[in-house]
Amino acid sequence: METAFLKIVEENQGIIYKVCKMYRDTKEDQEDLFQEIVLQLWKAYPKFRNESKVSTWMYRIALNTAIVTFRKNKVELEFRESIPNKDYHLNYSEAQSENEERLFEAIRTLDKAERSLIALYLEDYSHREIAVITGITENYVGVKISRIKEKLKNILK
Amino acid sequence: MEFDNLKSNWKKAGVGKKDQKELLMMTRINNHPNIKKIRIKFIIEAILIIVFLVVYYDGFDGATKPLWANLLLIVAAISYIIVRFVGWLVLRNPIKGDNLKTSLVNFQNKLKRMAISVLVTSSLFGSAIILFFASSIDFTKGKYLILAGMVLSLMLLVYLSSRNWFKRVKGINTTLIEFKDTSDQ
Repeated sequence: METAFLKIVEENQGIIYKVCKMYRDTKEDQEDLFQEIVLQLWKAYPKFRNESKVSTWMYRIALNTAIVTFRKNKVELEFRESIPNKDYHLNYSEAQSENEERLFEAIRTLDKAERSLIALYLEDYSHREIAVITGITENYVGVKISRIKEKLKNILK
Repeated sequence: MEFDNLKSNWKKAGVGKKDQKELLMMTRINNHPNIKKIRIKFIIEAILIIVFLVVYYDGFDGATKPLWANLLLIVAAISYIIVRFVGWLVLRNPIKGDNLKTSLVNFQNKLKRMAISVLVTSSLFGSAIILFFASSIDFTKGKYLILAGMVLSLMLLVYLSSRNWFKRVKGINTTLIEFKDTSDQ
């Protein structure tokens, strides 16, 4: 069971990475949340019956964990002695890194519920699927997504 | 960055780099510094209270105090430890529900119950200690002042110990309001 679980998480760790970037702004907080999500996934794994897609299951647990866990009560400044090397941004080109940072900065201006909805929308889930994952009605998913898109357009213009 | 590029940037983001060995470490509670910290805090608190219960009778003249004061102190101390242990379990298992909203509602209800339980058991334990020591004292004006000071300190401690729980409840409630369907209002 452990091997199968680790394989799934390794292949889909991008989901956890994105959720961490959406809900935490410092690298240390993102790393803490990453660990917490992996632990919650591991605890939930025995009940995972393949009735839903692996990515759907992972998003549900990851978003839930990000919303209910609380960051440490401290403000930290990250000091570095040198400019981060290319590996810091997972071997992306600088332009990609910059775009990624802007994307997550924009998403972090949304409230927690909106962040979960936009993540699922950007991941190409249908309104119906988003409704099932979040527990809100399909119609309201549509209303919320339109509002969020407007907000993001204003932030990114 | 244009809004239209949002999806393509999203798809490009999040290329994982953790290997299976690192991920395996993350499935072990002992490797989580935050969880370890909460557990150590609970264990220290529990040990201190148990040591207090073992030594108080001889050390603080339990035999000279009324039976009700002794019983109240023991019951309050035990309930204090049990509630904190349950609280630790609640925080370890926050996900209960088939969708985000249900899970948040369930977790919020548990947190509310925990916040109230922490408030009650902290007040009970603090009051039990004060009553235990005050039960065989002939009060003078000065002693009443000391008692008042102790009660005020107790109120402050009770507030501090339950504050984090109520803050958590408020945090979840804010997200539930954000999820609330306002389209048909």
